Amino acid sequence: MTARRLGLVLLAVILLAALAQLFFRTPVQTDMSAFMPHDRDRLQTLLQSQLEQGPAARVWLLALRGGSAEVLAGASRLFSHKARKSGRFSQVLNGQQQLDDATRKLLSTYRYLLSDRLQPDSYSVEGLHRLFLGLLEILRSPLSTFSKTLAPRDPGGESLYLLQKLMPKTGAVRLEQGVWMDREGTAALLLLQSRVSGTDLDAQLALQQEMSRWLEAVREETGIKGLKIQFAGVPALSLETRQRIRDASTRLGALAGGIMLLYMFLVFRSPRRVLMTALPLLTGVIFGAAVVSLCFDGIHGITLAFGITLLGVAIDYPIHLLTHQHPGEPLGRTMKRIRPTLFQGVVSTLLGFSVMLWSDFPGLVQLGLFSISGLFMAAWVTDFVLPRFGRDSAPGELPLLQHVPGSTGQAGVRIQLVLVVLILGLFIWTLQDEPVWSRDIRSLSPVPQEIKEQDGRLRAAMGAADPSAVLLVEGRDAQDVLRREESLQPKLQKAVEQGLLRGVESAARLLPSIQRQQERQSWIPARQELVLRLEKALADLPFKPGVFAPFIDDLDHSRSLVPLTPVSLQGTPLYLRLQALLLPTSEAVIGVMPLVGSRDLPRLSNLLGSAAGEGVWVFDIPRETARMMADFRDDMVRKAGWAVLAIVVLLAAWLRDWRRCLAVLLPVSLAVLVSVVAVLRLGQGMNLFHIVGLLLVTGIGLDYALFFSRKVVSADEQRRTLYGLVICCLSTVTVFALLGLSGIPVLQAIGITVAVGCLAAFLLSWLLARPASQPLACP
Amino acid sequence: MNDRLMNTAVTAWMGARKAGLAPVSLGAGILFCLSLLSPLQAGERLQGLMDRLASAGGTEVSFVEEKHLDMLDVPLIQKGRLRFIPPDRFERVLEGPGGGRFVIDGQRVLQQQGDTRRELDLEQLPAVQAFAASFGATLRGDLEMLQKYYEINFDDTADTWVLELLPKDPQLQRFVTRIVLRGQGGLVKRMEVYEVNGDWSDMRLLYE
Repeated sequence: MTARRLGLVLLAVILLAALAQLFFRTPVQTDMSAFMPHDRDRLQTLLQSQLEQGPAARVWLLALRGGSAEVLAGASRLFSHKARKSGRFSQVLNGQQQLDDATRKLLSTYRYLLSDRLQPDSYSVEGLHRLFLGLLEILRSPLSTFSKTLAPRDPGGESLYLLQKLMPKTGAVRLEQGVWMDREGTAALLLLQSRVSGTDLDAQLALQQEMSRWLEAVREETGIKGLKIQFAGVPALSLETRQRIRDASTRLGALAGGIMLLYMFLVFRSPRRVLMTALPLLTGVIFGAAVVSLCFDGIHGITLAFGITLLGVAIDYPIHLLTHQHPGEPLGRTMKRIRPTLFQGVVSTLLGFSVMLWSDFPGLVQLGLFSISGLFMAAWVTDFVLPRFGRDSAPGELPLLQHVPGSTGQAGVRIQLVLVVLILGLFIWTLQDEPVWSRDIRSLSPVPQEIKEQDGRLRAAMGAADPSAVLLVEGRDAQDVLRREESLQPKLQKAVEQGLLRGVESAARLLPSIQRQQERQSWIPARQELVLRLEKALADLPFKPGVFAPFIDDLDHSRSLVPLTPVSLQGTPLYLRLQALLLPTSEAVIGVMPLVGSRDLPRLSNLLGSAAGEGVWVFDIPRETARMMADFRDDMVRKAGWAVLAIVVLLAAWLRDWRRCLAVLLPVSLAVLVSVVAVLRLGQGMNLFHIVGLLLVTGIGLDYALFFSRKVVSADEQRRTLYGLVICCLSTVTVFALLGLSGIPVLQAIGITVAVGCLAAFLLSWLLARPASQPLACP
Repeated sequence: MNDRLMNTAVTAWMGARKAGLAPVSLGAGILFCLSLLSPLQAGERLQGLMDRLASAGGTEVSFVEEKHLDMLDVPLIQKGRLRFIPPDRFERVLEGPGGGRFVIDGQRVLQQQGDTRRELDLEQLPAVQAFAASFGATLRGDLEMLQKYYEINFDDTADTWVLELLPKDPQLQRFVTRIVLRGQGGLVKRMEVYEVNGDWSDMRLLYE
C-alpha cells in the first residue's frame, strides 16, 4: 500500500509540475514554418529563414474601396500621410512623390556616379553632341518652359532619370488623380513595407489594427462612411492562417470535449463514471502538452488541435476497463484480466506514433511527442489510479449491453476470402486510376483559395514582387554582393526580354558598388579636356557660349566625390529599402533580389548558367519545399516499414500463435488499404500527413484486433468486448471525423485517413479477427 | 475695350466741357454711361466667345512656332501639326527629324522624341497643369476652368479677339508672366507665351 501511495503521490507531483509548466512557460506558436521541412543543408535553411524575414514578406498590399475615384484618391493621400508619419514602414507607396528634398539633392549631386545610362563614350565629342541634340529636342516641346531650368547644370537630364528609376516599377497600375488606382478605378492601391519582420506576427497584427484605426480617422476626416479597406500580402495571409488555426483549435477542443462528455453520459449514465473516463484524458493532455513545451519552448497550435483529438484514442483505455467490469467485481481485478491485451494495444499504438519522433519536421516531432506522452500518461492513470476509485462501488448497469448480440464466432471462410479479394482488387484498381502522391504544397495552407487569388491579383496589379521566387546572392560583404548583382544585370535583362520575368528589385539598382561608381568617375575627362570637347560638340548648335559652365563645374566636382555606400545613405528613405535587400549573416552578406512576375524559373536558372551555384541561387520556395516534402515522405515510408516490422515481431513474441497473429494482422492491413483507397478516391493524393494517419490506423486497428482475437471463456465477456470496442471505435471515428472537417489541411489529411481506417479496422476485425467458434460456457 | 470707351468718354466730356459744347457733353455723358455698362457686355462677349469656341469642336491645323530662348543665340523655328479632340485630348507633332510628339490625354502627358519617351502625370505637376489649361480650357470653351487658373483680360474688335491670361497659380507664376491668345470668330489663331526669365514663344495656327 505504501508503495502504491508513493506512486500516487509521485503521479500527483508530476501532474502539478506539468500544469505549472503549461501555465507559466508555454507560448502557443502558430508559425506554419514549423510544419514545413527544414533541409539539413545549412545554406538552404539559412536562406529560407532569411526569406521569411526578407523584404517581400513584409509587404502589405492595401486596396481602398467605397467611393468615386476622386474620393478614393483623397483617402489614399490621407492614409499614406498617416502611414509615413508613423515611422512604422520603410516604404509607403501610393503613387505620390516619395523623396524629400535632402535626398533629391544628394542624388542630384551624385548623379554622374549613380546613373546607369552613362557609358564611357558619353563624354566623347560624339557623346556630348548627342546629349545636346537631345536637349534641343526637349527645348522644342511645350514643356521646355519647365524643363530648361535644370538644363545648364544637367543637360542630359540625369537627375530626373535617377529619380524616376528609383521609384519602384509600378506594373499595371494606373495613376489617377496622382495616386495608384486599379484598372476599373474602383480601388486606390497602396503598398507598404513594414519595418518589423514578416514572421513577427504579433507585431504585424498590431500594425494591422493601427491601420484600421487610420482608416477610421480617414473616414471621419473625409466624411465618407462607406470607405473600406482590403488587406493583402504575406503578413495578411500569415495572420489569416494563424487566426484559422487558432479558431480551429478552440472549436475542435470545445466540440470534441462536448461530444465526448455527452457520449460518455449516454454510455455510462453515471456522473461518477463519466469523471473516471475524463481523468485519464485530462491528465494525458496536460502531461503531453507539458512535455512538448519543455522540449520545444512552446507548443504549436496544430499540435494542440491534434492533441485534443487524442481524446478519442485515449478514451479507449478507461472504456475497456469499465465495460469489462463484471457486476460486483472490483476494478482492480478487471484490470488484471484485461491488462495483457490492453498493454499490447497501448504499446502497438505507441509504436505507431513513435515513427513521427524520427521525422525531420519539428512540427511532426511535436505531434509524436505529444501523442506518446499523452497516451502513456492516460494508460498509466487508467492502470494505476482508476482502480482505486472503483474498489467498492457497484459497477452499475451498462444499459445498452443487452442489445449487443452474442458472439457467434468468426465469419465463414468464404466471406473472409471475398473480403480480402474485394479489398485488394479495389486497392489495385484505385492505384491505377488516381495519382498516388500529392505534389502541391500550397494546398497545405489553411487559407481558402479565393483569398489567395485576391492576393495574387493585387500583387500583379501593383507589380509587387512575388515572395515565393527570389534570387539570392551571397558575398563576403555588402560591396561584394553589389558587384555580383551588377554582374548579373545583363543576363537578367535578357530574361526580361525573353518574357521570363517582368522585373527584378535589387540593392544594386538602388546603389551601385563603389567599384562601379569609381569606374564612372574615371570616364569623366579633366576640366581642360572637357571644355575643349564641349566646344567641339556645341560647334554647330545654337547654344550660347558659356551656358553650360555649371555643367562643367558639376562634372568636375563629380570626379572628386567619395563614392556613396549604404552607410552614407543613412537617414534617407533609400537606406531602409537597402536594408531590406542586403541581409547580413554571421559570415557573409546575402543580397536578396525579389523577382517580379517570374514565370519560368527553371529556364531562368539555365539562363544564369555558370553564375548560378557560385553564390547565386534561384529560389523557388514552393518547388523546393515540395521537393523536400517528397523526400521526407519517402523517408517516412521507409521508417514506417521498420515500425511495422517491429510490431510484427513484438506480436509474434507476445502471442506465440501464428494463427492469432494472422487474425490480428490481416484486418489491420486490409483496413490500411481501405483507408488509402478512400483518400485517393477523394482526389487528394497522399502526402506526408496521410502517411502519419496510416500509422495511427495501424496502431489503433491493432488494438481492436487484439481485443477481438482474445480467447475468452464466456459469451458475456465476448459481448462486453464487442460493446467496449463499439464505443471505442465510435469515439475515435467521431473525433477524427471532426479533424477531417476542421478546415486545416494538415489535420484534415490525418482526420480522414484515421476516421475511415478505424471504421474499416473495426468492421474487418469483427469479421476476421475473432477466433473460430468455441464452446460457450453457460452465461 | 471698356477702358478705352471710358477714356474716350471722359476725354470727350472734359474736352466738351472745356469747349463749352453742351450737346457734345451730353453725348459724352451718354458714352460715359455706356462705358459703365460695358463690363457686363464684355463679360457676355467673353462668354459668347467661349461658346463659339466650344461649338467649334475638334480642330486639326498646321502651325509655325517661333521660340526665343535665353540659352540659344538664334530663335528656334519649327513647324508641325496640332490636333484637338474634345474634351481633353491634345496632340502636337513636329515636322522634321526626331518627330517630337507631345500629347495631353486627360491627366496624362506623353512626350516622345525619337526613341526616348517620357510620361508624366498632370496631378503631380500643378504648374504644367495650369499651363495646359491655358490652351486646353480655351479650345474647349471652358470659361470656368480658365478663370480658375488665370486673370483674364478680354478685348475684341469686330471679328478678332484677344485673351490675355495672367497666371494665378504661384507655381506657374515662377515660370510664366503671361499668355496671350488671339483669334478670329471661333478659331484660335495665335498663342504667345512670355516667361519670367525673358524667354518667349509665338505660335501661329495656319488654317487652310
